[in-house]
Amino acid sequence: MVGSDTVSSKPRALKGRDLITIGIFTALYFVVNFACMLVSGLHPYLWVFMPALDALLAGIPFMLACAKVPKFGTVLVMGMVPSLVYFVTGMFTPLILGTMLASCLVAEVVRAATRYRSFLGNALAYAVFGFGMCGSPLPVWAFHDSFMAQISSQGMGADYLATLEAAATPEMMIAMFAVTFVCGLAGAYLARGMFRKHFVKAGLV
Amino acid sequence: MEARALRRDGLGEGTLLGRRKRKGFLALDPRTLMGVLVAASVLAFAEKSLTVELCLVCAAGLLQALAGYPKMAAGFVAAYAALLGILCFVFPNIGGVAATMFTISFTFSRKIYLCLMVGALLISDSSVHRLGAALAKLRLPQTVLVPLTVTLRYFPTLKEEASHIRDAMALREIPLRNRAECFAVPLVMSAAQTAEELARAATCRGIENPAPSTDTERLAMRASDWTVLGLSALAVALTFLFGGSF
Repeated sequence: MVGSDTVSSKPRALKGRDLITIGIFTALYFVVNFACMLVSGLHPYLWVFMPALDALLAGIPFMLACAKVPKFGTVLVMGMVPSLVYFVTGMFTPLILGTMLASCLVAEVVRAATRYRSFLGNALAYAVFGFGMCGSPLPVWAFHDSFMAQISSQGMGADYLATLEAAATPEMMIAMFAVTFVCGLAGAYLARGMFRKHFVKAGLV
Repeated sequence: MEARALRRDGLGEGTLLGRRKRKGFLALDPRTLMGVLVAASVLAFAEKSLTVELCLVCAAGLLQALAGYPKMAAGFVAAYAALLGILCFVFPNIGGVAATMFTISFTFSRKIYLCLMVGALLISDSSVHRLGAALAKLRLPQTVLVPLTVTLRYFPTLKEEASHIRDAMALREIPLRNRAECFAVPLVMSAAQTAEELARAATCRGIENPAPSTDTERLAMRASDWTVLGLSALAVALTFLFGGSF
């Protein structure tokens, strides 16, 4: 890890207070994300579009954290803290951890390229960030045969398997990514609406 | 007998700053339980037969009981039996939409059941402060450790805050389409406020001090810790080698 001395000498590095701010908003993101994961268990299509649902709903904590801490690492911490908790408790496969990490890194690059302050840049970063959760249903396409065999041996119902099989088309995968991206942008706009209506007035951002 | 009486009264031990009262037969370091948790999540991906799965759940229950949580152990084992019963006997017979809906949640719970057991033990056995101290000893960088502990500590406050907002909303008639906004906005406001206050308080208490901080938690890996870790590693190895075959 970066020694504390280098942290204080670089103005762009995350400081203690930034870490706390990110921690609080990560808790909010975590709750939204967990709720989406719970809902996704109900139906195969809900699972496929769970990343989109997550992207639509979690915009406010993400955009607020980005606005409050316009530095490198905000998104990385926000994505990786819940992922690590999920991973250690067995709820994330290594694949989701990988997609989360990759999408966080790309989102950081987008934020850095747009100099952290622009709404469009942050919205784009948020839309990219949403792809991280796509790692959850991704095995349906990526490892189709072995994944289907695995879940059927775990005792999933025949109805469920049939519906999932029907959903396992390449078009569906493209739809998943596209809808997630669009929902991410929509979530960011939703957050901006809230910002303008409430948070700016209250002096929050 | 005398030692037990002393232990019950909280004398004997616990007089040293940062030392905890011993709860059960095993007093484990949080790092040990984290190791067991990692083993459990590795096991979640392993192929296991029913016998092996039952043995593993019982072993985790035994660990909970030995660590001083027999009630928790009994609850988890009973819940596992119920879960298994429903999955194997009830759902295949009733069919229909409800069964499809819950099969996946139940199957998923079954898959991560060991993690849930060890995780529950870890969380009940150590405070967030102790967990943080253990993670710091494992050299988790501050950049991850601080947000992680803040997140974990903020959940109870978040829950309380949410219930206050719900109470306030119940007092007045809010149109259905405004409900979400009326709930989310105050929640985010209070979160932002908390972040601000907490950051100030932490700055006053020297979170930005570059020197490594000291701690009152007494953490030590004893022989029992290494034994438990070794047994978990053995369980993982055996399950991967022979887990599917009997």
